[in-house]
Amino acid sequence: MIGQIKGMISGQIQATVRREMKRLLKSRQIRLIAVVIPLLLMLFFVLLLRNITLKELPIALCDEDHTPLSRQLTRMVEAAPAIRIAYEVHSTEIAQELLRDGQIWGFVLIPRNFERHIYEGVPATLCSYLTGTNLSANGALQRDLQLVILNFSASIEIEKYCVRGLSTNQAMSRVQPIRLIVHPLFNPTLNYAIYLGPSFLAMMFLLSVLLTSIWVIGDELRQGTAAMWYSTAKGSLMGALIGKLIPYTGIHLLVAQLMFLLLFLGLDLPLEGSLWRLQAATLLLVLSYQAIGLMLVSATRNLRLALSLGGGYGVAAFSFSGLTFPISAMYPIIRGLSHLSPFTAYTKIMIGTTLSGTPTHDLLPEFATMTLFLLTPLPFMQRLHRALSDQTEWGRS
Amino acid sequence: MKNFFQILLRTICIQWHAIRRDEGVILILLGAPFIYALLYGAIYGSEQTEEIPVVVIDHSHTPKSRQLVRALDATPEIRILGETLTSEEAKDQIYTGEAHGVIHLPKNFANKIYAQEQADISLLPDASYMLYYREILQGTMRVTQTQGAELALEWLVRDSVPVTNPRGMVMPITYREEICYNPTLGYGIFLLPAILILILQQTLLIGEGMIAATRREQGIEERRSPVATLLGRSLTLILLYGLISLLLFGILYPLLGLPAEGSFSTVATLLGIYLSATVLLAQLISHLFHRREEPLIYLISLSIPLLMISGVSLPAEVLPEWIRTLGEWIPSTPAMRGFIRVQTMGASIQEIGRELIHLVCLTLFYGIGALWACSRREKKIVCPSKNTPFYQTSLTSMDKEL
Repeated sequence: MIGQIKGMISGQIQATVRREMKRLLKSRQIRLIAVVIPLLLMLFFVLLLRNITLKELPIALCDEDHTPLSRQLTRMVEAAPAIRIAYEVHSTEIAQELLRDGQIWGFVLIPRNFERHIYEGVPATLCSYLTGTNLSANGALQRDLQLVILNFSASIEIEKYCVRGLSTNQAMSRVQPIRLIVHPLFNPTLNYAIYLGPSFLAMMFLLSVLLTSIWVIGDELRQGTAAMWYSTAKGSLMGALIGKLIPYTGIHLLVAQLMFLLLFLGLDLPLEGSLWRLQAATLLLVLSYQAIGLMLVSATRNLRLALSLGGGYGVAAFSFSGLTFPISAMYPIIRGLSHLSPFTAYTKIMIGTTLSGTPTHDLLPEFATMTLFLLTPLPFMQRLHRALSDQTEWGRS
Repeated sequence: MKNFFQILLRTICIQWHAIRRDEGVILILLGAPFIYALLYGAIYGSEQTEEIPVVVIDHSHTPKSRQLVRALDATPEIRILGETLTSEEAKDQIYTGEAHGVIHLPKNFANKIYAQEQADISLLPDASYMLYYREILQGTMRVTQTQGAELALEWLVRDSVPVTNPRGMVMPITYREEICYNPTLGYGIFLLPAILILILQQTLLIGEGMIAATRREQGIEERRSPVATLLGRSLTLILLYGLISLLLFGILYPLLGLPAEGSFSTVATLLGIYLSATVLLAQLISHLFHRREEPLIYLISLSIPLLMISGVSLPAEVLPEWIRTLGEWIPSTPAMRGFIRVQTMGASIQEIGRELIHLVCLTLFYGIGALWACSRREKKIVCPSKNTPFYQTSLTSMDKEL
């Protein structure tokens, strides 16, 4: 048994690997999709996300009150980091036009009698209109406006209590009888780069793995070189496939190291778990997408169709991963579909290892799911075996 | 002139046949827009608001603390998963993903309140998923504020502080927050319009790339009148995609529950110019491809970067300057911006004037570029590519028929 495997390694696999190395050095397409494009796009994302903060988002302010108090509030709004008052307007109609014109993300209205109501002890109204068409801008503005108004109203309350003879301490506790102290877990600075970076980079990586695997196998059928490939491996399907894919497993893992460099040095991603666990997950990610690529080619025996299907499936993995839109909020059927891609499990392991330091035993189900994807090509192996030696199966695209 | 129209008509026929006879092109150009629209509609279409599970560590164990926990549970954002005693147990629940936040009520919580002192509670939300973080924070903030105001009111009455209007004393400002155009902050309304616009561009770029590369593989090239050739090919695609857009935005769009506030003429103008710019860009870059599978492998990975570059996801204001400038060269960027404002916000044609002019400029620029590339190729002596050993259908025979 061991001798058999040894023979296979020395003979079939080695010959196939040698043949594959020659092919990959000659092919412009493989160089581009396996190395150049993923690295360029990863670099793009790092440069995009580096130092990104949601600040100085333009809004309009409509002050109908024109009093010292309304001006004080305006100054506090202006001072909030996420907000920049780009326009001071006289009517809400103008503000709405600016909103539709794409100049601002929302506006604040300080109505007439704002100051008078406050001094008379009648609750004064304050309105904000924020567009919901951009969730990130909306979130940042909402948070900062709420904080500003909280502080502003606290300063008024303290003044009022002090006038009525309470000490500053007593006044403070009445302004905010329950104080909320927030410690965001795992991403304390609420950094967008750390939140989005790992997934964007891993996404470019998995697309590269998937498309490369489909290309290198599918191209043998498309160009009619399948017979030569098969004979190099001395007719062993196992040897042919391992010999063909192993050089790329190596290349992908090298690209992954550059991805980690970009993440940990370029985006200052923390590492709360073991790097080896992340490496193991990355190896599984490479192998599972190679398996899926092999399955797609074997099932279609058509390079172009396999690439079309693989591309759609690969890109959708991001939406299914639950990072930006929670899986639990999806329709039940879609929720099930989200597990049909190794990337969903990889995202969990990635976050668990870099941000939250999740113990390994809590991530075992994710490792197991990823391993299951290695079995996906098995039902189609017979078909591939036939296709490799049947000329009528070649040249489709 | 007669010759020009003959070539134009013939090119349209050839282009149409190239699409019709090619399964691969049909799948990309006619199938993919609908498949993707349905897929992403199904993923993001669910507007069900979910309650995010949170665990409570209540060291106070008093009616006061229980009242607070009940109030938290009653919010639309938060569902109290249960109580744990130690922070270790709470941590485990966060790690397994059962809970997305911890609320800690300290031992002295109720005592402080009875003593009319400020009581602290801690919130530890999982910030590795931004949406969870935001929801939990919103819910908790609202509860602590309203409960706090009630306490303050109670204390005022109890201490008989001389106040004419106690409500105005504890809550001097009533803050009304209105979310316009997407009141429920639905993810679908936020992202789907942009995704649909992007789908049109990506399928056009890949589809036309595939048509052109196939032509090249078979060694068929037009050698007369680049203007007529370019115009013919573009018109075919623009008409085809006009029809697809009509189905996509006329029928599927309302079915996905997306708001359609814009007038037909405004939307049609925007899409018309957008499609022209995109088709010409497609013609220009189609010269880069030598094999019909190449547009797939080179362009598929670009969808997510293009969505980010457009400023639809993270607002354009916060993107690095050079990335924004780069984005301005891609038709989908101004088109997404304009489309969202027209369809979701009900902007008029004047209000998207800047985007329309931008798209017209891109159309002209890529038109000239495509013309240049087309006439340059013409000068080369075209020889059949090496890569076509097994391709069965040939357009040359059909070309003769026409």
